[in-house]
Amino acid sequence: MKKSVLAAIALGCAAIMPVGASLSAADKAAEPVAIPAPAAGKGQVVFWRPGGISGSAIRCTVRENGAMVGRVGPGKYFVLTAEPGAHKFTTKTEATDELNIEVEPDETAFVKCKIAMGIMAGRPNLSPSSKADFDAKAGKLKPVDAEEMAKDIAEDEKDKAVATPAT
Amino acid sequence: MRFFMLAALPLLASGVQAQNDPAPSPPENPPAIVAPACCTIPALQDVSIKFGATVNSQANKIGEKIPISLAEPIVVNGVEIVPAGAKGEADVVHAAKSRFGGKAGELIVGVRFIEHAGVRIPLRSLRYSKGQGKDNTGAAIAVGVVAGLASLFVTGGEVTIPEGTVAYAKIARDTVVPGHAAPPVNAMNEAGSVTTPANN
Repeated sequence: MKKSVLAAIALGCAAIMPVGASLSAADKAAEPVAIPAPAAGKGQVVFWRPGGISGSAIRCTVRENGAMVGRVGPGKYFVLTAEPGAHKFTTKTEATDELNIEVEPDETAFVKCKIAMGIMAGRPNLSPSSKADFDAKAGKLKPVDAEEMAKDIAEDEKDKAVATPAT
Repeated sequence: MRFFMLAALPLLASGVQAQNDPAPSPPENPPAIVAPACCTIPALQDVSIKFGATVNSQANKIGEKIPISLAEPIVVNGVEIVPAGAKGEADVVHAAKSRFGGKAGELIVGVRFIEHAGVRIPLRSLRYSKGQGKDNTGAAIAVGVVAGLASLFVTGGEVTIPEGTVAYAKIARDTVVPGHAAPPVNAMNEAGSVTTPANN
């Protein structure tokens, strides 16, 4: 008796749920982003950032050995081809965060950037992630515009050259 | 050791035959000796390892060595090449303790090698789940929340990999391991790879 009452309530709830909305949300979550395999003998790192309003005005600029390798805004990702071996990536606003990873040949590593609350500006955090983690958010993620990122990197290099002129 | 024993068996067989036939002249260019398939652990073969110490994102530092051992023997073509318990080494690739503001602890551990019979067998791609191939790219180990990469990494609070945790890795490259016994002669006869003279 108790079970049949519960079942009736469940059916009633299902009937008044916005079916279209729930389906599209499920579809979005299930859509994996196809990250192509790295070139033979190379590895790659996917930098991604979940969406959300926290720190949305700040883009997460990722550097290695001081050189900018990419910049990722909320709900975006980019793929960096990397030589197998140890890599240290950094990101900075009012605080610097760094992440050491090892890139394996023919494998893809995932790194998440999140912006946490800071005093003057949000504090970026690079943290190890996974394909499963990435896939769970993939329906809401879009690739960074490659041309825009290339322009950002070129501008960054230009700024650095001006700041440290050759002697 | 096995390598030499297997290499010696065909020589023994040809020596017995030589009692009946005229002695053949030695070949000018003897064929190159190829390591038997049983002694070579192929690259990317799965191995299971066990952590010999607890690793923690707060307590451990980058570069610290972590003892590991083989959780299951490495078997190639049905022959046990490396026994369970063989010792090896992992190290801490990245460690960051949790901080004020909600930053979780982070820990990445990389496996380096298992040692057996004086040979360091290089390892890579530490992860929790077993498997090979590209489907597993990026599937690493998760203790707590995460997974990923060629290493074991974790986020969420302070991260701890308890001593005794079993994980999986891959052989980094083809590795020849000597020093294990040859299979019995009968077994070799059944396989048809070596003939022994009949006693008449």
